Amino acid sequence: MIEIKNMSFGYKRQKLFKDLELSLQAGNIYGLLGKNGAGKTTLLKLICGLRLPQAGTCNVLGFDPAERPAHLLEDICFISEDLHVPPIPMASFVKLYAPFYPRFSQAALLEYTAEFELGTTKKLTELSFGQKKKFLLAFGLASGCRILLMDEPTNGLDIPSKSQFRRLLARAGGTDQVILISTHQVRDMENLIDPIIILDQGKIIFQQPLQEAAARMKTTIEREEPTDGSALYAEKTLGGYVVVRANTGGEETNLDLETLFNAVTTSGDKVQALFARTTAGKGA
Amino acid sequence: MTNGFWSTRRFGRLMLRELAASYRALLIAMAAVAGVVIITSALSTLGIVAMSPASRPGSQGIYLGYFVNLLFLGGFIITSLSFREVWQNGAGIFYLTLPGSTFEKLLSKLLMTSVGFGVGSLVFMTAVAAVSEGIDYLIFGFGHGFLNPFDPAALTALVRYLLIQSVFLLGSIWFRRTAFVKTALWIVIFGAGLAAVFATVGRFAFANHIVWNNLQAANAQGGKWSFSANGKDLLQVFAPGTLAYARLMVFKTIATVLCYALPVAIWLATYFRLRETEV
Repeated sequence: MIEIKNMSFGYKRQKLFKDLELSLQAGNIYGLLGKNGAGKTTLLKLICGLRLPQAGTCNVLGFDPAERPAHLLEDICFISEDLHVPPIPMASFVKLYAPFYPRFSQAALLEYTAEFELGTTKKLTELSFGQKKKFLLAFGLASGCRILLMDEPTNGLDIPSKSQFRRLLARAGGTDQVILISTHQVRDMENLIDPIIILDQGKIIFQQPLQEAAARMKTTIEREEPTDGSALYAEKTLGGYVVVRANTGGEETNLDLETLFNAVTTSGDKVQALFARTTAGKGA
Repeated sequence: MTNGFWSTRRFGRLMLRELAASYRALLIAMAAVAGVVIITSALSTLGIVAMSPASRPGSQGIYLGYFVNLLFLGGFIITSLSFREVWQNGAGIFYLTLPGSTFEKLLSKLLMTSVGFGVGSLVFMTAVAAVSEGIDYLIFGFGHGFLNPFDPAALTALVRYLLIQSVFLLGSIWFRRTAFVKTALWIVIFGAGLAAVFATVGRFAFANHIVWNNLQAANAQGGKWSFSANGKDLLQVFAPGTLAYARLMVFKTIATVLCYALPVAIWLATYFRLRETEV
């Protein structure tokens, strides 16, 4: 559904992507992780045509998003971190904007707003940041768009809202949809986003399903810091070290997103070599 | 008709959105303008009664002046604000990803600020003038005269507005901030540049018809450049039937065509600028 080939993009003083390759398939909720300034938001903007690639191609549902074709925009919803709502009641907003999206479901919106405990009479500008976000998330999910892009969707949500959001997203995600979530709040997204895409220095250094990652890497708690070079990553924690190693014995361990992210960003080459080796091994 | 470039239904939704977004501000502005017009018109009539009762009825064309001011000043300001949302955080993302082609988005803004505002303000000012006249007649027994919306002067102003407005529309998508001031400044700079070019060309082209006149004023030494024989010989050069006259007519025709073609070129430039806008 989304195919990016040899795409390059940069700002005036900063080259961001060079020959970027990415392929996203329907039926997945992708998690886009990366450090600050890695280009997560820019990648989302390139996918929905808010930024124009300087080289290469970006194909979304068969369209070039740089052209901003209306038929693509009807099928793409970007919920950005910078929220914008007009000073009108929610009901008026829905009346005004829902017709733009051919697959919009009023019933779904009612269900989602009820789940988020939102009324419909208040003016949108009178809502708190979190409430505005919840409304836009509900609207985006109800839009029925096949491409749903979310930038830091849980920022500003209170604790119950985060779990409500997770529930809704798990329920709303369809088999014909690609949901791409850029986030720093990996704990909020645990057990929801899969596969994981990690962006670092303008390159995708990791794109694997969590199951695949867990099959090839394992985490253990060890008393001493490993010094023999066998560990992919080690992090000091209470009472010892969280150590990530190659999962050669096929053990089942719980690889949390934060540890995975840290392992990939600090030992990217080792992790990539591990995946390449295993793939080659499988191929043979 | 529905395709990626144009859909009447999508365009209708965009127009509805434009109306819904601006109607409140528009109503407030209309009420303010109506208040100012009615009060100043009444004060003007009162002034006539107090100062020169013999000169009744009052100054003709007062409402035409109001209309022209509203049209040019108000219209250019509103046009300069038309793409402001593109440059606001969040709002720009929302607008540019709103399902609609670039052409539909441009056309909805263009129609609202050009024909929509022009014709709307003419109808509005005609109605306000009628109300104001009614009040003046009730209080003073006479007024300034109604505004005729088909007055050639009003229609000429409307055409001129439509021609110049396109520049402010381009300015609104070109400049991120203070688009009105920056566009006005560019128009002044462009106008001054054009005047300088034509003055220089004219100075050399008509060198034979320009003479130095000594000033004979008391205690003053000096003079100025002016047309010989007060320009009468120059008029003879361009007399109908001459080659120069034919050339002048060709120049005038080209200038007129350019004048009417300019908005089309600017709309095209606005379209491409909007299409390439990144947020």
